[in-house]
Parts: sequence; C-alpha cells; structure tokens
Amino acid sequence: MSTLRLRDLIRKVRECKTAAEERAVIARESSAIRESFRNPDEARFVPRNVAKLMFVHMLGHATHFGQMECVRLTARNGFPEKRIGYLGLMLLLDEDQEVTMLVTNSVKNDLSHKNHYVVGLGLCMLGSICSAEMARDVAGEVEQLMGHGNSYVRKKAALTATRVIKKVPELTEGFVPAAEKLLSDRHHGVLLAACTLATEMCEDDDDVRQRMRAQVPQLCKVLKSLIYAGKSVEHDIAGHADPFLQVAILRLLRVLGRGDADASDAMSDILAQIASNTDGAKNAGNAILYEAVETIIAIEAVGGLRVLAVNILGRFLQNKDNNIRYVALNTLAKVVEVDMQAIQRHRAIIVNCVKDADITIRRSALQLVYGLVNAKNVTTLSHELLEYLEVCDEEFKCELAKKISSLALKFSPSKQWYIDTFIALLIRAGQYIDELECNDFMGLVARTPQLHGYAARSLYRAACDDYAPVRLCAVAVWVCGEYSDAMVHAPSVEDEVLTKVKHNDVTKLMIAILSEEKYLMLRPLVMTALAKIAVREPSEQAVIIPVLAKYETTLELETQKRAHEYKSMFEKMPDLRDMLFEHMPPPEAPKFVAADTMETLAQKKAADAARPARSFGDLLNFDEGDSSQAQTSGADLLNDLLSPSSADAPTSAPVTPAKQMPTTDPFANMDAAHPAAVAGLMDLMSDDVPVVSSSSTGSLIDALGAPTAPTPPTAPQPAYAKGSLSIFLSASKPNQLDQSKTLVSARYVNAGPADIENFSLHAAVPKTMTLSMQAASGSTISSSAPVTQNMLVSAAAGHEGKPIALRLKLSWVENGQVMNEMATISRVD
Amino acid sequence: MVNKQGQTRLAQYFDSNLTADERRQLEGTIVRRCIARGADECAFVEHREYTVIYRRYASLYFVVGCEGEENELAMLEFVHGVVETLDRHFGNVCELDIMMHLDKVYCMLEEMVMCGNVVETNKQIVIAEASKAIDVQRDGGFPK
Repeated sequence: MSTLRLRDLIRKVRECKTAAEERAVIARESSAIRESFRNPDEARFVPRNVAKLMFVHMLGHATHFGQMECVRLTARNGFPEKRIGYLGLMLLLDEDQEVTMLVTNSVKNDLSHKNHYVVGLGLCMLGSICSAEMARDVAGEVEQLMGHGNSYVRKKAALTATRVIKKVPELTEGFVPAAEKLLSDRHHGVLLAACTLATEMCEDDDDVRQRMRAQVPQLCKVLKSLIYAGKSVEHDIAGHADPFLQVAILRLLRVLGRGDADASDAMSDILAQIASNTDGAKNAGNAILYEAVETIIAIEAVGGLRVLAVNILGRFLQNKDNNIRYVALNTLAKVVEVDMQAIQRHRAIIVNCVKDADITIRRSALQLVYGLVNAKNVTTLSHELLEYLEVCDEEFKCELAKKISSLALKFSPSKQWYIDTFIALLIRAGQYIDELECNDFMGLVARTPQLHGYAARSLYRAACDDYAPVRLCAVAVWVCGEYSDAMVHAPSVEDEVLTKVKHNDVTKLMIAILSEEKYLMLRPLVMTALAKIAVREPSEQAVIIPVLAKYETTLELETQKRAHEYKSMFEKMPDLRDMLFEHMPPPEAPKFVAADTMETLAQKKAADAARPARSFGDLLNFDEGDSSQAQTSGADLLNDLLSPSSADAPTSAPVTPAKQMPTTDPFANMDAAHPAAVAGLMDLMSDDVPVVSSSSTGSLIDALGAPTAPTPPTAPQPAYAKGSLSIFLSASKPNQLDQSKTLVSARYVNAGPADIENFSLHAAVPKTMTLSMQAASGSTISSSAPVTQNMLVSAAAGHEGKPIALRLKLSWVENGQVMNEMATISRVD
Repeated sequence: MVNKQGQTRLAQYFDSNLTADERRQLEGTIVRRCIARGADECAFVEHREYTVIYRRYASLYFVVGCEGEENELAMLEFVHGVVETLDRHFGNVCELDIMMHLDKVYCMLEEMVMCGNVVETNKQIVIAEASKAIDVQRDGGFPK
C-alpha cells in the first residue's frame, strides 16, 4: 500500500543527507508502488504512483515496472488519467516490444477521439517514442490529422509526421501534399511545424526537394509579411516578428536553394532584405541574421549577397558578446573553402580569438585559423601562433602545438623555415610533440645535406638552455652527434645567427646532458653521439673515452651496453670504427615529407590520408649500436665486422643473437664477466642456435669483448616443439623504469629439411595483461633462416610481477600438409 | 533543468536509447562543464557530436543539447521563452515550483517542444492550452 503523495516523496528525498540514504528511500518507495500496482483496490492511486515514478526516473533509478501501468492509464476514459499515462510513457518507456504494441492500439483509438486535447496527447506521445513499426501503423491517421480543423491538432500532427518519416523514410512521399498545404497555413505554430517537417523531408530526398521548390515564392511571401507586418504582441520578441518562424523558414529555404540556381535566385531578394534590415542589437535579431547568413552561404547566391553575408560575420566577430563571436567563428569556418579572400581581411581578429579566455571560443578560432593558413600567410600566422604558444594555458598547449606542427609541415615555404619552426615548437611545447613527428623531422634533416650544419647549430643553441625539454634534447643529441663535422665546418646559411661551434663545445654539451637527472632516458643516445663525435674529431677521444669508461658500470642496461661496445671498438678495432660510425644513411622520405614546396601540395594531401598507416623507422633506435646498424645498412658491414676472424661467417645467423642482447638483466651481465661463465654461455649458445658455428660465435664475442657477449636467450629449451618446428621465447624489460611492460621475443626455428610455409601464430594472454603483436619477420621458415617476432605484453597495475603465460594457436604448411596446433605456455622467462 | 549543485530537476530526452546509468553520467559530465564556466564566457560547449547550449537563471541552469545545424542563438532565445512562460504561469517561478509541480512543467514543455522541435512560441497560447489541461486534472471531464 503506497498512498504517499508526490510532494511528500520529494520532501523525503530532499531530507536525505547521503546518496545511500536516498537510494534506500527510493528502493522502499519503489517496492511500495509495485505492491500498490498489483492491488486492484488501489486503482485510484495509479496516476499518483506514476507521477512518483517520473520523479524516481529523473533521479536515475529503475522504473521499468511502471510502463505497463502507463499503458493501462492511457486506455482509461478520464482525461487526467490519460494525460499522466501518456506523460509517463514518454519518459519511462524503452524499446520494449510488447508494451509498444499495446500502446499502438490504445493510441489509435485516441487519435480519433472527438476531444482535440486527447488527440494532442496521442500525437505528442507518438512524436517522442514511436518506433518504426508504430510509425507504419499510425501514418495514415497522422496524415489525416494534418488536415484537422483545429490548429492545435494540425501543428502537432505535422511534428509527429517528422518523427514518422525519420523512422520510415519510405513514407515521406505520402506526406508531401499535406505538408505543402500546411506551408500556406495562417497560424504561426502550424507554419513553424510545417517548415520543420518540410526541412526534414527535403534533407535526404532529391525528388521531394525538387517538388518542394515550387513553394519558394510562398515562403518568401510569408517572410516578407513577417518583416513588414506591424507589431503583434503575441509573437514579437524584442521587436522582431516571430524570430523562430523566420529562422525556420530561412532554414527550409537553405535546403531548397542549395544546388539550384533558379530557387536561389527567387529567394535572393528577400535574403538581401533580411540581411540588411534586421537590427542586430538584440539576441533575437542576431539569431535571424545568423540563419540568413548560413542560408546565403549555402545557396547559389550572387557575389554581392555573399559579400553582405561575410560582412555581417565580420560585424559579429567584433561583437563583445562571446555567443555571437562563437557563431561567427563557426560559420566562417564553413566559408573558408568558398571565399578565402573575404576572410583574410578579418585575420587579425580571428587570431586574437585564439587567445581568448574562453576555451570554446579558442577551439573554434583555432579550427578556423587552421583552415585559413595557406602558403602565403603561413610564415606570419605560425609566428603568431608560436608566440601565443609561449603564454597559453597548459591544457590548450597540446592541441595548439599539434596544429602548428601539421600546418608547418603542410605549407612550409622552405626546408630551412621548417627546421626553424619545428625547433621553435620543440622549445615551447616539446613535451606535446609526438615522437613520430620528431623522427620525421630528423629524417628530413638527414635528407638535406646542405642544411646539416645549420640544423645542428640551431639545435645546439636551443639545447644549451638549462630548461630545454627532453624531446628537444633528444633531437639535438641525435642531430649534433650525427652531423658534428658539418656543424663545425659547414659555412653558415643566409639569415643564420652566427654561432662558432667547435667539437669541444658539442662534447661539453653532451656531457652536461649526461649529468642532468631529467635527461636520464637520453643517455644511450648520448653514448652513440659521443662515439660519433670521437670518430669525426680524433682529438676529442681523450675526453670522450673516459666518459664512456665511466658509464660502463652504470646500472642502466642500455647505456652500459653502448658505452662498453663503443669503448671496445675504439680500443680493439681502430680500423673498423670509422666505417661503423659513418653517417647514417638517410631514411627514405615518407611521401608527404618528400615534397616540401607548395607545387606538390596536391600529392601531399593524398599522402596525408595514408599517413596513420605508415610506420616510419624509429630513428632513435636506428643507431642503437654497431651490430644493429649493420642490419640496417645491409649485410656488407656485417661481413666486414666478422671478416678479420672468420671469413666464411654466415651473414644472417649472428643477427639473431645480437638482436637478443637487451634480454639480459644487469646482474647476468656482471656474471658474464667471469671467463668461466662466458665459456658456459657460449656452449649454451652453440647448442641453442644450431646454424651458428661455434667458431663464428666465439669470434664475434671476442670482437665485442666479454661483458657484452650476446647472452643467449635465458630459455635454452624450446618453449614449444612439434616435428621440425621449435619455438623459442625470451622475455625482457625494454624500459627498466616501467616494470609493467615486457618484450617477448619469439624465434621460430625449423630443424627439418623442408621449408615451413604460411606460418602464423596467434597468442593470447591472461586477463590481467594486454598483448600487442608485431609482424613476424616472415611467414616462411627455412632451415637456414629462422623467423623472429616481437610481442609486447603490458601488465595491468598491480600485476607487474606475475609470470607471463601464453596460449598459442599455430598453423603452418609443411610438405603440403596444413597443420593446426594449440599450445599453452605457462611461463615465459 | 539542473540546479547549481548539479542535481537534475527536470530532464527530457528525444529519441535516445540511453540507459539510466548512461543518462546520469551524461548529465553529470555536461553539467559539471557548464557550471565551471564563468558568466562572461559563451553559452555553448561542445560535447562529442553535440552542441550544448545553456543559460543560467539564478540557481537554475537550463541546458539543451542539440545535434547538427541548430541555430544556437535562436535556441538561447527559446530557453528564455520557456522561462518566461513558466514565470507567467507560476508567478516568479523558482526551483521549488519546478520540483513540486513536475507534471505541470512537463505539460507546459509539451506544448512548446515536441519530438525535439519547437512547436509553439506564443506564450499566451501555451499558457492557455496548458492551463486547460492542468485544470481538468482536478474536476474530471475533458478540456474544452
């Protein structure tokens, strides 16, 4: 039994102090209401209970059990019951099949009710919740009601019709005559509804649009009478005759005029009158002006009209009211493609809007500026944006930096300018620049030999700042290390700030970067840069080799490895090191960077689309070390590396152990310093990799020095073997600071004589981890060439220490036979 | 309609299939963003594909979400029309009026907005039709 009044329920809920208390009150009341629904003696309380449910629903609690009661209420005879029933349906109903079917029956009765308020209720409910099936069932009635004698019914029927054709577009055709008739109605509400309906009809249907174009003169007549009619108290807002109706008609005209010169012509007079005569002092007037401008822009208007429209937007832009500026910016963004020249005049104001205090305005303005930039103004605009980047809020910087970066790339007038701009961007918002973009930038520098010196000197100046962002330093370290010779010797370029740099200065900068805690992650890069400098300028070796020696004992694995390898190379292989530390071959240009001038913009645009798919080689890792460099520049260097000790070394096999070097942890490396351990490891190694002759492995290790011996994968036994196929898995932490990420390197070895073809491996990890697989190095495993594949496993927070378990699904073709296998690997070490 | 504390006082959705939870979440996000904005900032916030238009009256925020090409300025004007209508009916309308007379407010809204479109902007007509419907509530029979 629940006889609590709605008021009392609201009061009770308001008295609750906590959310839990509120939930308890609601739960109690809900169950009382359910109880009451079941009791036939309490039928008179149903309307009140449904009203309470609406309140409960608004608070966000479940009310589905009230749906059926609403349907029953609508079927009752009394008006108050029907009213509350329909209201309840509109609010509480979800797409319950059974309920909607019942509703259709009762609403059909009410649509033919003699009281027009009852008909109105039914139409209103249909307008809110009708489904496609209901729409088909009631379409006939709705169409008839559009011709009803009472305006109250006509307007509601017209709007219900919009819902019907939205749900079932095929029904549009049948409503056209009725809609045409309503467009000549005298009642404002009906006209407004008719415009909404006609707009909806014409949006997606060419035939209907063509037919409706006959109504353009009629619509213009209505507009004219609105403008010139005397004041009518009911519809006037701030001296404008029914602005809502004006807006609705203008919108319909827009749909009709778009792409049709005749229709556009017929409406241009009235548009001009509205645009020039409407007073923009109040919001209502501006709403009309705004809609008129939108229409002028969209239709096939003559030049003069367009100028008028853009001028109105210019006035809007200068308005103090932010609302008006917002619509102006958004509308101008639509004009950009049509009439760039007209907007360029307002450039200064628009750029000012990017600096507005209001984030909504800033976003819209930035979007507009983005469309506004072309080859002619890119220098001034990006200069202004860069200046603003220095002072804007932190939250906005990311967005702005990304936009500047892509603009600079798209419209750069010269490579030198692009280099300048990108460095400026790195200085101001380095943390927001994508690593990929940095790689592209370094690639561009590498491909532009005439600017090697210029870029390196500019970056050197920028990186000398104590507060230089990490990203900037990363780029600077790579470029300065790679092109230190050009930096010192290349003549200065036009407009360059004169900087005299000696190798000694670069070395000092590198050492300064090494000593800064915040640049910790750059240390491996600095090692490579130092080694390269030492080769270019042998006199620097006296400073650099002790630095390398110092970092041989660091706990950071990658830094330690590089320091040791490079130092060994200087000490043990003087004749090789020049070749090893040659300039990196410039990476192939991604298509959209290949062309830097405006002439090829069209090609760039096409390539832009393909951009996300392109994965550019990670430059930062390119120069990881001598052996990986050998991989990238082909087998020649590798042969050179091996030739002193073993002339017939296989070219492909040593690559695999070299690649797996990072798999060791620091302690294993220390152990490896003992000769005995090395020997043991080497034995393991030759067992493990049957294709590598032990002599070549040995010589490779000798050449590199004991501690950096390619430690074999820590799992010498295959993780999985079937027939001639063996799978070796090894796990490593690519980033010592982030224990959640594990790199699993898989190697697929074929011990049999026949090739394994179409090899594919799918892997799954436990729910606490996520897995991302990289592409395998091939799908065919021959006995001489194993295939490798990397997988990156990220553990969810709190599960970092758990062993990695894998479930594998394998398939391959061997001797023409298709094999499908499943395997579970309980632990990858 | 939402008050300054972010409590929803009245909500109506047109053509949405949100569950109760999604609805609550959506309202929460949008309202938080609106409340955080200053008085001199513009009345529009972009949220996903929707433009949110809001207007503040004393402690109550009137928030409207639109999609596609809606005339933002006209929508602001319409919100004002709704408030004026409520004001005329209740006489200096306040948050409590709206809470306690939920069904009447819905009834009035129904006369002004239907299936997400403006249906009537003439305040006199709205008030006349709505009061007829509301008055019947008490004595039975049908409105004339």
